[in-house]
Amino acid sequence: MGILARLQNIDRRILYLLIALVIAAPLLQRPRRHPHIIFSEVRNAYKTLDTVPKDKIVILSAVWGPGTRAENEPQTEALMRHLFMRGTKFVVLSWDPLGSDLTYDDGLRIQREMGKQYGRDWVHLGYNPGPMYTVISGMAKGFHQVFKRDKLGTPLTKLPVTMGVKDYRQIGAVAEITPSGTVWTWIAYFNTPYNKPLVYCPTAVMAAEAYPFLDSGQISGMLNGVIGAAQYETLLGMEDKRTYAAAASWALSSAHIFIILLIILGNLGYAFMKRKGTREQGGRRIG
Amino acid sequence: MAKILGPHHGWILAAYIVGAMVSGAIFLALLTTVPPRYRKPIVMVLTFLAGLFYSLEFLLPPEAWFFVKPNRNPLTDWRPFVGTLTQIVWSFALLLGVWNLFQIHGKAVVKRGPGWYNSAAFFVAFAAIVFAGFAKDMSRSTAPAQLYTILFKGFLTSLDATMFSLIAFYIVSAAYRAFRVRSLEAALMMSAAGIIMLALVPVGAVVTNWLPNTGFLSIFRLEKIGYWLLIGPNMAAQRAIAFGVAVGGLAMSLRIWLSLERGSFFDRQL
Amino acid sequence: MVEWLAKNTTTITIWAGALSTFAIYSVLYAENRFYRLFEHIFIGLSAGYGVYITWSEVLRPKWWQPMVVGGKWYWAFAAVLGSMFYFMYSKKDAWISRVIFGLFMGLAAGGMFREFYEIYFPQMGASMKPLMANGMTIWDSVNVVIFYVILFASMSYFFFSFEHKNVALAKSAAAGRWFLMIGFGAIFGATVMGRMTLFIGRFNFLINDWGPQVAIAWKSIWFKSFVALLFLAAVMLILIFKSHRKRKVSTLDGK
Repeated sequence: MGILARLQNIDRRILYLLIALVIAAPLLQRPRRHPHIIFSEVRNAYKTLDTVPKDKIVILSAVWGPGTRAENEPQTEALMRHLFMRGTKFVVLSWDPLGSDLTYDDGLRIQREMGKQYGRDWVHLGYNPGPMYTVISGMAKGFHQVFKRDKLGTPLTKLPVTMGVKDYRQIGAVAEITPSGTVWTWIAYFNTPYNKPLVYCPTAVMAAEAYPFLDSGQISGMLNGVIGAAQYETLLGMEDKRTYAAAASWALSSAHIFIILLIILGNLGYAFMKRKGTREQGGRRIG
Repeated sequence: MAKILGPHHGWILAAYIVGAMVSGAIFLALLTTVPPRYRKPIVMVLTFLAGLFYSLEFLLPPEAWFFVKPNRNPLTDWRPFVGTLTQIVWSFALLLGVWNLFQIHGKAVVKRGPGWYNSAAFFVAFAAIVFAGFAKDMSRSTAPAQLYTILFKGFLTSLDATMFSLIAFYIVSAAYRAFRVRSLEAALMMSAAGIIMLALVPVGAVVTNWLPNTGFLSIFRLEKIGYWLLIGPNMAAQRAIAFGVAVGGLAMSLRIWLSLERGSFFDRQL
Repeated sequence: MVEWLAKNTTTITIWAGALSTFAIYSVLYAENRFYRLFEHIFIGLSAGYGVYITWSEVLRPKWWQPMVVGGKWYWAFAAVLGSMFYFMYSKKDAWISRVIFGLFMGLAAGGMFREFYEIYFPQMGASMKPLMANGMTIWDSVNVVIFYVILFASMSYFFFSFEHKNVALAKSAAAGRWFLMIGFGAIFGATVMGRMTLFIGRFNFLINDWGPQVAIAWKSIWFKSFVALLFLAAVMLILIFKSHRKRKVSTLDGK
């Protein structure tokens, strides 16, 4: 009992050190083994982007910034790789000022890896602030009226990817990669009215709320945080590659076990302390 | 009308722009002379008119005989313009926050109170990245681009990501000290959380790997239980919450549109 | 200098990232001036970057260039509208900022009809699941029953407009509260996963990006000496901080 009482007052800094050690091991090892279990919403997301007609483009709507880079960047990279592999043209639409440069750098890096070309295979539309619903509803009706130039200042009418895009009819699908509740705007103003498929790539925090929309078909597929990205990489044939998403999924495994053990230990200690306190009061419950 | 709208170039363009700015300034000056008893009604009317745009655009049919030729809902054609206009006007609000920060940190530097050097560091960092950003676009030298890379990728993105990641440590601390199962409901919540946490990560599949993948016993595999919890009970509960949020959101939106909302912001004397 | 900068930008960037990371993580040990300084640097960089990116990727291509180069002079009125925000700082005419805020709030509120219809009507439709249909197994039917029970019980919990005097409604609402716990448990589990991932991302940077840079730098004797000095300085600072705290506590006790 003395041990449990002492453990109840353990310095929080020791806990911080322990979580760092628990996570460090898989990251140092960088296991290449990807999750072999693929959730059906990840398969559906893959199928959705795999069946986009070749004459249409995909919009990668990136609402994320450096704060949630660890979750959203692997998702963005996985989707970009898939679209490059298929030869499907896409545009990146960034709603976060810092995310604009980050997604552009990601696109350039993957483009170099896969021998693709900016302007011919993909375009970045730069940072877009302001109320999302006005931009999305405007873009659905007049793409070039809302987006005039790309991130580098080139008129969109001069780029092969975007020169033929007039409105919603030339857009095959939307992938929303976001750490906040912005997917409902796409559902309300674009995907449901125009019957366009939507792939949702939230951080894990937002994923639980999306299941009703997966059930109704308003969201075609979902990548749940970095785990979803790791599963998507498996579908892309990267199951033996050393990627951050694979390492992170194993690091998460050890972190989750650690958190569950902490909750159990904390509650065991609390229960014993409570019983000890009740016994010391002559068996009467106080409070 | 088309002749007035242009496009124009040269001195005519400059004259039109200056004229627009001057008329805008006159309009704002006139607004400052509005008596207090008319201010709230003006705000209410403009709020209502703004709300009419998207409401009517949705409620009216896309095509009807009562629309002017070519019998199409004209509000739909204005959507791209409204999208661009709101983006631009919204962007002008950026300096609101910056001005506020300048006031706070400027006072701290002038007064030389404790920690004033932090406020000085704020100004230095602000100036450095603004200079690096604009210089990189305007200069032929590569030095500004390198400085920009160091400030953006080295400092800014790292600081942003690290700030967010602090929450993970607080969760660890809370898991041990604060998450107490004091009732059966809390126990249900924690059990569901624990099962889902393990089911989502690869180790969950390893824990129950000894169970067959198919057949009746396969339903006891951890990843299958966790997944069933997500797409079954969780989905139903989240939908119920979503319906509640929907009705609340609709009521709130109506109150804001019709200026019926009360509270410190809305009841303030204008 | 410019050449040295060009050659070493990646290295400097990674070291700057590591320095920023350790500066922020130092607050986990205790509140300190190092953390405060970098916090203010972060705010300055964020604000400055916002100014730069808003001009270069929004205002210049969408407002300035169409107005000045494209000849569309009427965009000048957008600046007039935008300037209305700044009346917030005027004591006498702050109401003018309410006009522009009211316009934006009205615009957003007006979209509610479309949002309610497009988001929630399909939800209502998807809630009407058949108990038995072609291709459905007994397990699917059981799941549909479970779905209806949980949905109606949880919805009945949210009936706040009247008292739950009816026994059936009261029991249904109580059951709803239990079922909602499963939803909250799912959100909690997912939240832990999400937040842990953010830390994993930073740690991955320290181990796999910064680590190799340290390994390269470690070959130099100057770096080894610098690290040793830094370690000594950190130990001294912690000892000074602790003795300062002890003196403060004993002074307070003495009072």
